[in-house]
Amino acid sequence: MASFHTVPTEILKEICLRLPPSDLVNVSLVCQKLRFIAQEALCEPLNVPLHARPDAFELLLRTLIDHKDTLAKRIGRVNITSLNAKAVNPKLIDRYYEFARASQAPEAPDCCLALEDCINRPPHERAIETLVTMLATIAPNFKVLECGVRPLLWEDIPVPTATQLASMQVVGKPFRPSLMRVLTNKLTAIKIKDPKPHLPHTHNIILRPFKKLTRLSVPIDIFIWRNRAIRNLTTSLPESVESLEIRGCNLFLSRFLLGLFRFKARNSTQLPAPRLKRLAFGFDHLCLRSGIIAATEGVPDWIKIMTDSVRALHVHGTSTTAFVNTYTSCKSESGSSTPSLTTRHYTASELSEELECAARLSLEELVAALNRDVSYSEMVARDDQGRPRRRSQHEIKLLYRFPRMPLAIFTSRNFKSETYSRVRMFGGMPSAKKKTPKTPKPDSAHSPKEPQLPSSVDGLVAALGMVGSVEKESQLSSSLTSFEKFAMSFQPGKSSTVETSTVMPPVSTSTCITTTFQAKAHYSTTLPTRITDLESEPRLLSTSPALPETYRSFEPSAWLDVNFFPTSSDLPLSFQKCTLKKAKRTHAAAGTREGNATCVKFPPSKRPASRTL
Amino acid sequence: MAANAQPTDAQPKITLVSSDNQKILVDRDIAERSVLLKHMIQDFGGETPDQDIPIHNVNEVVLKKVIEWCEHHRADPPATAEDDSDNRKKSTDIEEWDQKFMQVDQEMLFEIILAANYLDIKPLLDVGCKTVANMIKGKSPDEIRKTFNITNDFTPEEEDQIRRENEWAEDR
Repeated sequence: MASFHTVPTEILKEICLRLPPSDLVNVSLVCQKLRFIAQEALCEPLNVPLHARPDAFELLLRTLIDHKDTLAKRIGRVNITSLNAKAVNPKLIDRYYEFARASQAPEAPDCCLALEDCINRPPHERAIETLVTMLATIAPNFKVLECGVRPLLWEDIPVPTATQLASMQVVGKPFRPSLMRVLTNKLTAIKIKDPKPHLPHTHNIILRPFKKLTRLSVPIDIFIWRNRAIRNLTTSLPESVESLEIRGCNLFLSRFLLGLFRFKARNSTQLPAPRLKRLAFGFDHLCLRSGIIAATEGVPDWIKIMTDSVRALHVHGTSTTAFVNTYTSCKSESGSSTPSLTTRHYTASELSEELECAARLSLEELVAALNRDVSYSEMVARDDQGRPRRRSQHEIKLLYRFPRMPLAIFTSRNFKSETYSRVRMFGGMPSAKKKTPKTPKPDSAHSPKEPQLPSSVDGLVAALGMVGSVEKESQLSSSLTSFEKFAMSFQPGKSSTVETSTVMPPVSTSTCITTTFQAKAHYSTTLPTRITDLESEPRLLSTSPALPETYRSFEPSAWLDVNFFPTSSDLPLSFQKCTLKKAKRTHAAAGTREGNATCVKFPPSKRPASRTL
Repeated sequence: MAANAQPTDAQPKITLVSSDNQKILVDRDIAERSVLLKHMIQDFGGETPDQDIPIHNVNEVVLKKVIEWCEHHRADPPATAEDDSDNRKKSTDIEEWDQKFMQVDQEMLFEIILAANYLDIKPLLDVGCKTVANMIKGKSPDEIRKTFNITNDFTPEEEDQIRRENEWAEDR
């Protein structure tokens, strides 16, 4: 019998690691077994809550001194970015001295000296530094620190004055010399959070003295002077660093990379960080794509510098990766979608592929990739062998003309732009607006009639509505009947004739369209209750003989949003200009004829809000 | 993705034997979702072993459930081990399918977690832990005790002490 009591401690710990601090406090009060597990989870990593009381850190130190053999030893990673302390209780300092005298920790004498140094300074400057100093002795395994850019000195200045700005520009060490002595021998990893947006200055922090530092994650600001020149990296990067993560990459990244190699040019044997094994570029909140767009605007040959640098670093045995912190909306339990910060990683090979593809894209395509939220390798056009190639102006125009068409069509290696010269797109229902200006929204109109109709059919319903009943096309209840009629004309038994008869252009794009269309036809006749019903029908999608392999992250669900239906073909070109009524009549007759004109309807309301830079 | 991940051709099969001596035939790539089995198979020299693999700690019902999960996730990319320790897995979002999969009674839930731990299937363990974490979230200590049928073994003094120790972590 498995129950909570039989679950081993390490699994309970895994569970606790997934809980926020507020719940862990409750869990620690449940029973003895859970008490220490939850308290350990609270300390790992040590993270003072953002809205904690001002003396939270003092309370913590008190707890740690009480549990110096259990809890204090578990602390490895400390996050003081949200630490908000104004003063330190003298009682705690007394208690600490008592503790430090009793402890045999090697750093205790240094810490006492650092503490003396702190006490002689104004309270708001010393509070956080005092606490960190104390923690350095109390927690013997404290090795990873997360802090602000000027963690101990400039936290409380809301808007800096000119003189303050000038003084901030001074290159400095992140901590007072006395505390530096303590921390340089202790820390193996530092993560410096991004500077606050309202402090538009650049910070220059000397991290060289941290001799044991192997992992470093910093905003790019700390390497950049205010005059936008890169600092000499030999003075700012510690020699021992193995893994370097640079966040907020943009225009400056290329300068950073140049800085990394300028030294090498002078002294060919040495890099600023000789042991560097892993270099990661972080593009915050937007994406690698927007980062590259921003960068290319400043430095025309940015991509080339970047590609060369990645290659050169690779020769030195450094793997280069990129990661992107981007907001994606995910559905919560209540059904509302909330944007959450997710990180997407690019491996070294992916990064160079991305860069290679990016070099072949025009600015329009870069923006299109951004809007469609795809990577460059998914956006770039391919030649017969599947290699990236440049797009012609006409192809770029097509790309913009059909914003909701699957990208696979445009990136397919046998994409022919001529095929699309007769494809047109309906961008809405202008006539409907004229006749009945204040009709209810289509979604609400059709819902009483067919409550289970999946939303992705709406587009097709609306499209058919345009063709089907011109007079009342805005009222979807009536267009639904025409839709049903249309749907009924595709009997399940006849589906094979549909398959063969509605073949459109003789390229692979046609297969895509046919397949989707078939899916729609199937969809409309059976009206499954869930979209997943359709996805679970592999038959529909596997009938397509060759899906373009360049569209790597092909997902059936993405296709369901796009609504195609074929129309007749041997219609004269004037078909495109004929009235919708005529279209309806001809459409009914067109069921079995061959066609190469495709009407595509894109419901305007469903366009996702495009991202902007 | 699911459509692309159809079994290409006849996969080599592996016979697993549950703790209650039931034989279950699975595809090799599904068995290899479990790091334990993967290493076992590697010990056979990379060849598909023709003898049965006994799984002592897992009974048939649970093993079938675990295999069901592995089958659904057979096309998943391998998890990136990097930065695993960095990101405290605060997010307790679970995929819809996994949520449904985990809608079982508590006993079964813990059995699955234990099996995932034994077979070393990290993503399944992760889903299981997230599910339990979601059951704990937002509950008072008393409610947690009731949910998992735990008895309170604290004296009032101890409770007071724990409260004092945890004061620093409380949001105001």
